[in-house]
Amino acid sequence: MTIHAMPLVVGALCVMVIFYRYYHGFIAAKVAALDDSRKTPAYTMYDGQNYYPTNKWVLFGHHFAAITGAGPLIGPVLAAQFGVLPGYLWILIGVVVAGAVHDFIIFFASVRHGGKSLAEIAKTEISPLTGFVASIAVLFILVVALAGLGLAVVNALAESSWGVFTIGCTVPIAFFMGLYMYRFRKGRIVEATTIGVILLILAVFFGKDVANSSLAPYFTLSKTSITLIILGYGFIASILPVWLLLCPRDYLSSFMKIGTIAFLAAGIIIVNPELQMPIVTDFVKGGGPIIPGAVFPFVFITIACGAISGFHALVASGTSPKMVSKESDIKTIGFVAMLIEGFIAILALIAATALFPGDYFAINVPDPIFQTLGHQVVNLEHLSHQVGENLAGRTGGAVSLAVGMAQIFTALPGMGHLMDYWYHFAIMFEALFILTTIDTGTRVARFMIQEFGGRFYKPFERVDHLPSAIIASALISVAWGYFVMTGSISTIWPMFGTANQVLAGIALCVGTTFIIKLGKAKYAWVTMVPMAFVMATTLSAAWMNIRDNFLPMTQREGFVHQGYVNIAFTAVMMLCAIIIIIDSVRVWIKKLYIEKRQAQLGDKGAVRD
Amino acid sequence: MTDHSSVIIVRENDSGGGCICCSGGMGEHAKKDPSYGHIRTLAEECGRLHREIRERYAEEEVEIIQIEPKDYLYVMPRVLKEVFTHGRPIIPSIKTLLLWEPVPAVIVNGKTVSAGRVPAVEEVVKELGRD
Repeated sequence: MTIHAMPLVVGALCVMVIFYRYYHGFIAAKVAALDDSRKTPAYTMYDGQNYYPTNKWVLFGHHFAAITGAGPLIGPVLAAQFGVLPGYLWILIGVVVAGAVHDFIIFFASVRHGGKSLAEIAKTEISPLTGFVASIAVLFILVVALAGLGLAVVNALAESSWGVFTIGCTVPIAFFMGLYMYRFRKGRIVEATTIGVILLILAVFFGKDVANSSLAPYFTLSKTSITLIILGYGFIASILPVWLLLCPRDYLSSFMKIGTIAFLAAGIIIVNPELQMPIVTDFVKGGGPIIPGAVFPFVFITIACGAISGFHALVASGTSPKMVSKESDIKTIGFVAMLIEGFIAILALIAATALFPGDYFAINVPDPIFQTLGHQVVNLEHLSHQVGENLAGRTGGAVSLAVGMAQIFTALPGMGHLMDYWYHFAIMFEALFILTTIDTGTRVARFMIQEFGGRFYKPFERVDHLPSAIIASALISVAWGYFVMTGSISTIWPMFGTANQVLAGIALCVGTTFIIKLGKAKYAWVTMVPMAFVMATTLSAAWMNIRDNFLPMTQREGFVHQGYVNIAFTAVMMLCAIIIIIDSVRVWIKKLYIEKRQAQLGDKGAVRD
Repeated sequence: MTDHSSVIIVRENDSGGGCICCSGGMGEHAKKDPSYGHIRTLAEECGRLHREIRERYAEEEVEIIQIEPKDYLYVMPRVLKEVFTHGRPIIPSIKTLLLWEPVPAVIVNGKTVSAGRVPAVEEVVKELGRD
C-alpha cells in the first residue's frame, strides 16, 4: 500500500485541532477552571524584570522556542524501525492526551504557586523527600541526555571531513559573534547574528572544497577522536563565560530552528513524499537492530520529546509562569506550543520514513548487523554519491534525518543538484542544537554537583570558584563521555528515553497531587491516566532493558563494567520514579480519605458538643 | 498620547533559552551563573524602566512589551504595525524595523527613543506625551 505524507500531516492537524477545541478546552474550563480575575505572579510578584505581564503571543513565542529543538527530531527517526504507524500513533495520541496536558498542568500549577519550579512544587505539594529525589533524578537524566545527543553528533561527524569542518567552524564563529556583540560593537545583536548566519552558510558551502582538498585528512576523524574533542568542548564551554560561546550559539540556534523547521514543513507539504517504510515492520515484535525490544513498550521511550517530555516541566515551571498576564493565556501557550512540537516530530518521522527501508537500516545499523537483516539497499549508493560521503553504518539518527530532509529539500523546484549542500546544512542544523545542549547541559549539571558538594565543603557550591567549577565540570564531562565512549545508540537512547519519561511521570505525579489538593479529585484522571501509562511503559521498558540488554552485557568479556554501570544508572532512575510514586500515593490517600474521615469525625464531635 | 500607545523594550534575558533536551537552555539555573552579570544588570535596568512607566500609566493607557532580540519574528511585525498606526515616516523607520540598533533598545509608538542604553523614564514619557 502506498502512503503519502499529506494525509498523515492533515490527519494529525485535524486531530490536534479537535482535541484542542474539546478535550483541552474541557481541562482548561473544568479541571483547572482558569480564572482571569485571579492575579498571576506577573502582577502579584511584579518586579519588571523576571515577573512582568507579557503579551500572550510574545510569551507563546518565548515558550515555544524554549521547548522545541533537536529532541523531537531524533526520537521519531529511530522509532521508524517499527514502521510508520507505531511512531505516528504514539506521537499523535501521546501529544494530545499526555504531552500537552503535562505541559499545561505544570504551567498552571506553577502559576498558582507563584511561579515556583517543579522541584519546589513537588516539595510543597508532596514532600521534601520527593523534591530531593526529583533533583537527583534530574541530574542522572542530564547525564544520559547529554550522552544520547552527543552520540548522535559523534556518529554524524565520524569520517566526515566536510561535516567536521562545518561544525568546527561554528565554534570560532560563535566566539567571533560573542566578542562582536559583547565587546567590539556592544549590543549589535542583529548585526552579529546576520554575520554569524552568513558565515555558517559559507562554512557549509566551503566544506565541500575542504573535503576535496589536501586538508581533508586533517578533518577526517575517527569516532574516538570526535568523542574526545566533544568531551573537551563540553568541559571548556561549561566554564567559559556565557557571553563568549553560549549566548551567540543560542542566537544562531534560534534563527536556524525557525527557518529550517518552517522550510521542512513547507517542503513536505509541497513535495508530499511517498513513504517507503511499511506501516509496521517485523521488528514490532522485538529484535530490532536500532532499538532492542518490542514496539510495546520501547516505542514509548524511543519517542520522548515529540509525544511527552519531562524537560518541558522545567520550562513550564521556569520563566513562562512568571510572565503570563492572565490565566486564560495558559491554555493557548501550554497546549498549543506542545502540539506544534508534536507536529514537528511527525515531520521528522515523515522525513525518515521517506527513505527506502533498506537504505534506512543500512544507515542506522552497523554493517555486520545490517547483513543479517535480509534487507537490500535501494538508493544508498546513489545517496552516498550525491552527498559525497559513505552513509552506511552512520548510526544515531542524525544522518538518516539529514538524508531524509535533504531528499525533501532537493525535490523542490530548482534544488535538484544541491543534495550534498542540503545534507551538510541539515547536519550543521542538528549539531548546532546538540552542541548548545552539551554546553548548557554540562554547565547546569556542574551547578547541581557544586550545590550538592557544598553540603560537605561550603566553598564548593560557589559557582564562581574556579577549582570547584573545574572539578565539577570534569566529573560531569567524564560521566556523559563515558557513555558516549562505551555505548551505542541501542544502549544509550533507551536510557535517554527512560530518563526523559521518568521526569515526565514525576511531573504528572506532581500535577495529579496538585489537582487533588485543588479539590478536583474527580478530574484527577486527566493526569493520572497518562502518568500511569508513562510510568508503566517506562518502568517496564527500563526493566526489560536491564534484563535483556544490560545483564547479558555483564556476561560478555570486555563489557562487564559497562553493563553494570548501565544497570546502576537505569536502576537509580527507576528507584527515583518508584519513590515518588509511593510518596505521591501516600499524599493522595491522606488527602482523599484520612483528612476527609478526620473532618467527618470533627463534624460529629462538634454536633455532640 | 494616542489611544494605543506602546513601549517595546528589546533586551536580553539571563535565562538563556529553555528545555535542555531540546533547545539547550539553562532555564532557572542561569540565575546562578555569574557570567550573565552584564546582561542581568541591563535587564534590571529595563525592569526599573518598566516599573517607572507603569507607575505613571495604567495598562489601558500604555502597553509595555519586554522582548528578547531572538523573538525577532514577533518584534518586526509589531514594530511595523506601530509605524503604520502612528504614521511614522517609512525610510527612517527601516533601521527600527530591522532592529539594526544596539540592545537594549526602547521603541515608543514605533520610534526608537534609545539604543544601546536604558533611557530615563522622562525620555519615554516625553515621547509618549508628544503623541
